[in-house]
Amino acid sequence: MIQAFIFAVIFFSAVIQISFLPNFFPAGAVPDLLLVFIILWSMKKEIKEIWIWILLTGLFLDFFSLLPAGTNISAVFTVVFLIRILMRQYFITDKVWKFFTSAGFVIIGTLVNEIVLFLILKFILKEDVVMFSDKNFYLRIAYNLMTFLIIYWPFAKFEKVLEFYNHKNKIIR
Amino acid sequence: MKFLAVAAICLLLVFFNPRGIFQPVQGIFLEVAQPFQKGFYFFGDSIKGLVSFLGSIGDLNSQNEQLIRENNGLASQLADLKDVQKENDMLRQQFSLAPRQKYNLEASFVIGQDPQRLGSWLMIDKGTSSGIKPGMPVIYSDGILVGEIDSEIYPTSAKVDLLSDSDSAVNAADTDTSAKGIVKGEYGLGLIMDMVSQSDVLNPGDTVATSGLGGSVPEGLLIGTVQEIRLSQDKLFQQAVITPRVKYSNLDMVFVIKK
Repeated sequence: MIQAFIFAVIFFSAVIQISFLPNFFPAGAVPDLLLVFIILWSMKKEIKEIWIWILLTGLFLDFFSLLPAGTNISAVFTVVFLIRILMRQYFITDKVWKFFTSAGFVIIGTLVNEIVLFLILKFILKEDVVMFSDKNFYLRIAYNLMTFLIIYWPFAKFEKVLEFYNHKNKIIR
Repeated sequence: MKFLAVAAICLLLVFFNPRGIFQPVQGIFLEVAQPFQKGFYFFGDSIKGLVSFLGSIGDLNSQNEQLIRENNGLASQLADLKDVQKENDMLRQQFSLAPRQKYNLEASFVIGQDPQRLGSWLMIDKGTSSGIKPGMPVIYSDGILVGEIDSEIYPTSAKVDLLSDSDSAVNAADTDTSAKGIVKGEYGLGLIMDMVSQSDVLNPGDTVATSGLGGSVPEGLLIGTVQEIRLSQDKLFQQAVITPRVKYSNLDMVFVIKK
């Protein structure tokens, strides 16, 4: 049940990202809803707990973005590994600081995601891409930060739903 | 260690994928996702329309007064319209612009756009089951070229490489001066008409259309308007910055020209 719920959240986030949001944002600068979601989630969970969902997120993004499978998976996994390393270094409990740290992680995560995608597209897939000279690069960071502000509190609810189901499952067992 | 293992698997996937091992899975996935994509795209499009309508309400009063004035003026202009129509027909003939009736068109809805990188492709809701093949030109409205069908085609969806894609190249001509060149995408950011001979004349405001030379794209499909003229880096050719006739991110329905 809970697996189906998470699957649906990831699937529909991907659909929204590819088919709904482009109506409101400039071409090529659409907010990366799933990336922000995964960054927030990886701040609270160990990789071993959510690796399958990270894989699925990357795969959905690859399928929808019509990129070779593995491209977004690599980028998302790199971002999550980095977030986990940073989380071990800077464990924060204060709510306000947590908010600002999360915002910082979203910026760092977006940058790392952009760099990994750029490297794969440029040097493995031999695509003609640019990074720092592309204004969309900066727009994507700004939009991802905006997305973070919008989903930060709904995400807390999502976390609570997951915790509730996990707790319920433990009791039933 | 774990990271290296995952990285190695991912890179192997990227390397092996060009051979198409994931294409059938991707095809099934996109087929299942297509109704959702279509629904969300149109939902977003409707909201966008509604938002722009609401935003325009404040302007309605002043627009109303302006429209009354314009209406009076239009009554006198009506008489001139027949002449304009004649001129239009003559220009169309002169520029060899393509009327839509000339082609076997497949109407299709846009169901997705490139969310990452350069926004240089669209996804449409027609694929191999509708006879769509790679290289087919894709137009908007009355013969405005927007791109070509990519090699990635699925039974019910296909990828359209926009003219603004950096790999895109189409033979084109200035319809006012007949200067010929190649229209290329500039990293998804705009269009450039390149390889125009120094002896050819280009003027800002000129219309650029396909020349029909050497490719699968027919002659006379509108591309855009010359915005600025400059010399190529090697100073051998002229280049023109082209303003596309349509904003590619606003497309909702396009037509594929089937051969």
